[in-house]
Amino acid sequence: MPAEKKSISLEERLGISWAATIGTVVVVVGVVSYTAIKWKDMSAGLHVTLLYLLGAGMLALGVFLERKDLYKILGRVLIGGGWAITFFITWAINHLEAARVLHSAPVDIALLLGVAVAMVWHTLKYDSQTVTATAFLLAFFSIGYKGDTALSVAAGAILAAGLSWIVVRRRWYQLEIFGILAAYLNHFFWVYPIIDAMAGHKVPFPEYWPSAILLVVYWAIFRTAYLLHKISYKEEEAVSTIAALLNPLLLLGLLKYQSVHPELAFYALLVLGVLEFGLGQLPVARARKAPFQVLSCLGALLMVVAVPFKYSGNSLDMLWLAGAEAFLLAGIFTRERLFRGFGLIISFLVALHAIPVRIAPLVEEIINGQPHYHVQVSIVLAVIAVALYANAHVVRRIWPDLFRDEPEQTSGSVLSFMASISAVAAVYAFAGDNKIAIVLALLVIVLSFLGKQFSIDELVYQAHWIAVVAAVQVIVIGRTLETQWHGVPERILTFAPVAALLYVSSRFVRSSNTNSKAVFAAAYGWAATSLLTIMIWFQSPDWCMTLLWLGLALALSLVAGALQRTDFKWQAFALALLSFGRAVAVNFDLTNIFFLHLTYRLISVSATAGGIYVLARWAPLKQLRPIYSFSGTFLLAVLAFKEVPEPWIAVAWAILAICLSLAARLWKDRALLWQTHILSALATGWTLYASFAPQYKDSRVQLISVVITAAVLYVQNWVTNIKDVIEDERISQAYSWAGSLLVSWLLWYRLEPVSVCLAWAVFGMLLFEIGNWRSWAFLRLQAYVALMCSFAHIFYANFNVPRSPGTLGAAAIDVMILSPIYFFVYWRLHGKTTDASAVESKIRVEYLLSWLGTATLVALARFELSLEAVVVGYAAIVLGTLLAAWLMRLRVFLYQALVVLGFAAFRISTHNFFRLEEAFSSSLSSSIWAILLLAACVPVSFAMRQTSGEPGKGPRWAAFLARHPEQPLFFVPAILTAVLIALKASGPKITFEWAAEAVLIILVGFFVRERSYVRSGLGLLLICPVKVLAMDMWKIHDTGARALFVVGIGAMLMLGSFLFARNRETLRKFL
Amino acid sequence: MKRVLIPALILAIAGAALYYSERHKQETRVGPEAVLNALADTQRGISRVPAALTRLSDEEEIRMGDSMAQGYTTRYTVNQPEDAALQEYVSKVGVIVAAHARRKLEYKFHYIPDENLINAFALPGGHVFIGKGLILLMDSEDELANILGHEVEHIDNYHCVERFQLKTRLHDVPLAELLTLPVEFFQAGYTKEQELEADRDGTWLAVLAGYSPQGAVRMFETFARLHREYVLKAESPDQELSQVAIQGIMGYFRSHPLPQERIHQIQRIMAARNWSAHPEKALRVRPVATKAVANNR
Repeated sequence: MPAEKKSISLEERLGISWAATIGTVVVVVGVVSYTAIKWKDMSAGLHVTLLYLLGAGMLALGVFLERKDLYKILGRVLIGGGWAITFFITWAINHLEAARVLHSAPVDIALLLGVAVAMVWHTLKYDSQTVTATAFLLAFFSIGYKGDTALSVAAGAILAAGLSWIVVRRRWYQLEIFGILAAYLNHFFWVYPIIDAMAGHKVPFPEYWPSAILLVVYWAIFRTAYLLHKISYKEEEAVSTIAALLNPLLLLGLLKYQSVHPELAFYALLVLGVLEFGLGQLPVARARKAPFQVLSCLGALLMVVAVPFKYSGNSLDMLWLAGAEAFLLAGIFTRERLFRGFGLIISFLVALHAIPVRIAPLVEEIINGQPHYHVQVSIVLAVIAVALYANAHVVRRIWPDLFRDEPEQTSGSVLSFMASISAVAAVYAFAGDNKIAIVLALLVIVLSFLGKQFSIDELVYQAHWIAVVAAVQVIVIGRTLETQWHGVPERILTFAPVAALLYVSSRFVRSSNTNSKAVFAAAYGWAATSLLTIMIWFQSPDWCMTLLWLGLALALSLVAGALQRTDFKWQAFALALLSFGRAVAVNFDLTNIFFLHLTYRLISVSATAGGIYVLARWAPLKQLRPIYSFSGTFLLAVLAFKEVPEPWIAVAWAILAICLSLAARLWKDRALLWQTHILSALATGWTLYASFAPQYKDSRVQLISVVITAAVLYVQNWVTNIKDVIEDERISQAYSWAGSLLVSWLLWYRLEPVSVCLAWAVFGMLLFEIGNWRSWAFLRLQAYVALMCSFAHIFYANFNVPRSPGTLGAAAIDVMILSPIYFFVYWRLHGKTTDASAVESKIRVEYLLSWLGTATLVALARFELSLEAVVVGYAAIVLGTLLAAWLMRLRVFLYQALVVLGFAAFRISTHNFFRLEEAFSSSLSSSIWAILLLAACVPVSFAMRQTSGEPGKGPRWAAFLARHPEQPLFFVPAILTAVLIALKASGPKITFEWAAEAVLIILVGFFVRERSYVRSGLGLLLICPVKVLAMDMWKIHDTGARALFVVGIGAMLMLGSFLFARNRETLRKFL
Repeated sequence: MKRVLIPALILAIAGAALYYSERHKQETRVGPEAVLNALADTQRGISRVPAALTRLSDEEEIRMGDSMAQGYTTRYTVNQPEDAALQEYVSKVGVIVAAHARRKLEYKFHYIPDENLINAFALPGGHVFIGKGLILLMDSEDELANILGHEVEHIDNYHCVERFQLKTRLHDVPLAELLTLPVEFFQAGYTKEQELEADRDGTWLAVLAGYSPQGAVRMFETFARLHREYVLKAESPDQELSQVAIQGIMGYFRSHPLPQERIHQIQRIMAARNWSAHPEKALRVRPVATKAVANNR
């Protein structure tokens, strides 16, 4: 189970080793801190003794634990900590005031050295970098924590020397890196308070020279150690190299930090460079090769870096360049790679130096618009560019075997790129503003040609960015270039050549072997086209700019066709979009007259739209054609909006839409069809918005514009129905919906409010008839909507006319005619002359219309008759519908009769019956008439009775009523009569009249052989004696009258008895 | 043939009707009033039978009305001699008119000296209120009598008390809780049928008291004119100025029938009963207008 073991091991490491290490460090840190803080409270000797005991105790414990396998790591850490404390105390007995028991610094240093030696000697016994590193770490920390004299820091040098000796002996090169960092950081902590106290104004300080010397000593110790390294593995060399580089870097960093004599920097760098370079040439260094390379490079670099600290001016560039060429050529001729490297590096530095010194000021002048014509600078930069190009490409082509490795290849590419920067800068410093772009474009064509011809990719890539600069330059300059040259605008003379050169470069780039050459070639084309576009923008009058752009687009499209260049088609597409955008943004505001009454807007926008339509033929992708046509249509639509008077805009849009739909029909183009849809929708919306505005109320303009638009929409219903193009037939049907909407809207606006309902109904009827004739269900649906709207509208207009019973106003007449229209459509549908659509079947439109017809009559009665006579109207409707149901055998009218019967019962019981006592009330007469009319329905209801057959649908009670209409139609008037008697009569009269009614009911019941009638009559009859005995009799104060009354009651009862006896057999059948 | 003739006949009749209605323009107001009125009347019809079966006693109604009236009258003080005279005058006319009401309650008439109150309303138990703004629109005692008769009939026909009695009876709400109802609850008007009923019976009361029914007609004509001005947009600065006062009658027209319909009803009754339009008596006490309300007359 190796994996498990490994896992456990890792846990142990984390839990024991790391924990112990950190714990120990914490103890030490704590002791040191405590000591520093509380030191004054104790005698120095006591504390020294205590801390020595502590250090010794830790050491002893560490030695003891180290022998046990389980606590080996903890023991080693304790050993390290013990030595650290011992070292610190040894240092403190001389350097810390509170612990000073030793007053001789040299003796203390000797003691420190002794402790360090003992520490190293002891820790080396364990052969562990961890233990030794811990010891040294703590020692460095102890010194750095409270170091205050140079001698204190000198202890660090002793530590560093000891550590370096161990590094060399044990080949612990990682420890060397640690030692270098510790030594220099320790030193930094020492000088930091001194430098920081100067607050940025450095002045010479007493410790300056000791510090500098000490730093040099550090450097020397670690450099010596580096040269003495014995390397067995590649990894060891890598670690050593890091240490080797870190050493001078930290040295120079600290020297710079504490520097109070900047003038000495040149000498310091030069001396250090010479030393490093010299050390690199020692046999011990050359034997290992890596020190030779590292130290030589370092030395050369430091020497080169030293120069700017001493010299400045043009000579520097040339001096460096000469040096670089010397190194390079030396490296070539001696075949020493290092020297070639120096040459390349110095070349790079020359170019790099030129950026802040030469190029940056030039750029600043260009940006600030200052003159930037400097022949000397241009010559220097040109020389640099030529030299760098030569180093990068010519040399490589002549001695290819020397530059095969990747570093050389990369450096060559970098130099080439730097050369291009210098070349561009040279052009800027040399050429006049107008010509810079042309010269740059020439440079682009040269580079791209050479790059293509000699397969030098870098040159082609450089051409790319220079092309960008050229394009930007021509745009920037062209913006303000208003002068002419022999009558030709200089702007054209600048833009056109640059564009042409870029077009040509595009071909070279396309022929090169570079990556993404097609993309870049296209980019050149785009840039050239963009320049021409911008040139037109600057040069052209406002009104014809879009036309010139479209002309350019057309030319590009033709060239694209000839050369099979798709990118040109894309450019033409972009130009078309640009023209469109420009037309939208600018041309719509060009309201000046061009000639006659034609505005610039009309001419330019219509021509632009036409051009865009034409360009659709060369669309880069077939799927993009809709964008062209949509753009063209948009322009024409907006043009119509701007040019045409408000109410005619919709007409113009509608006509444009029909042209588009005809085109769509011709070319089977779905995009054109969708434009038709959108335009038509807009035309409809605009008609509703504009033509019906208050200012056009009742005007001919309104009438004609709406009629034309509606007519066009109706025609579109046919034109847009293009087989295999239109997605759904319902879309084309929507046109007729829109047309009908406009017609309805027109009727609504132009007619009196009370006429609207009838007009809509007639319109609906016509739509229905046409739909019926042509079998167009959608027209019939529109008809139903119109009919239903007509019904709804009567409640909002006609019935708001003040009620004037006895007179027949226009509002009432119009409503009266609605009902026949509804019934006529119902009759048509009922006649099954056409197949019903799914929607018609779903909403059961046939029944709906019959209900509308009856509902219209009910509403007419409710709103037009006097309040009391409403119920008579209802009763008459019940009779009428019942007769219709009987005569035409249409049960739907039976249902309607029953519903209206409910209305009548409700009305009479909640209105008329409450007004029977009032002075002017006709409620009584109305109630009687209503009851009589309802009673007249009874014979008819028997004819409608169904005694057999399937039960109807719906609730049981409703089905019962439908099968037995004689029940509600008899009992409603009977009950109403009884209530009327109770309300109108008084006292005993009620009883008499109820009895009479009861007898009548019984007689009718026998006559029609209806058991329920007889039973109800009997029930009412039986109530009478109860009422008499309970109430009536006691209201008669005259005893005689009371007796007669009782007799009368008895007689009535006898009569009833007789009648029953006489009809016993019949009765048995019923009962 | 039948399939062609019938639609042709319908179309011909419809065409003629359209021609007729376009030639004989009938003024109407497009809106939901008809439907709303019908719904309100239906709602009242549904509650009518239960209301008749759950009547409050007269004592209960009077107790409630007195309490509400007391709360309302404390808002206004009748200190000016002119206001006191008007209070007395209104009471005198009111008592004469109410003498023929079916319900024999102690009717009390209150004058509210507020020019912005262009309204009259009744509370349960016999309290009738009339605002100064409304009297400023009158110029005859007959008009005043007809208005007071109208309000008396709202009490006489139980319109007032029916507003809350169902709640009291069916939901067992204590009467004391209903005393907190705001008076504005009774100012908002009634259903169309209730208003027509009060018009009809109120005019009858005025006639029985010796006043001319023409007073009702003329009062409604004033309302009709105001209504037109209220509904139609003002077209001159004068009309705009009068709109300020007209805003006050918004509540009055909110649920009342159209004035033209009310006029028709009264004229029909006058014709049926052969009532003569004898001369009206001028107002004996007339309030003094301080705002533009008087210009509406």
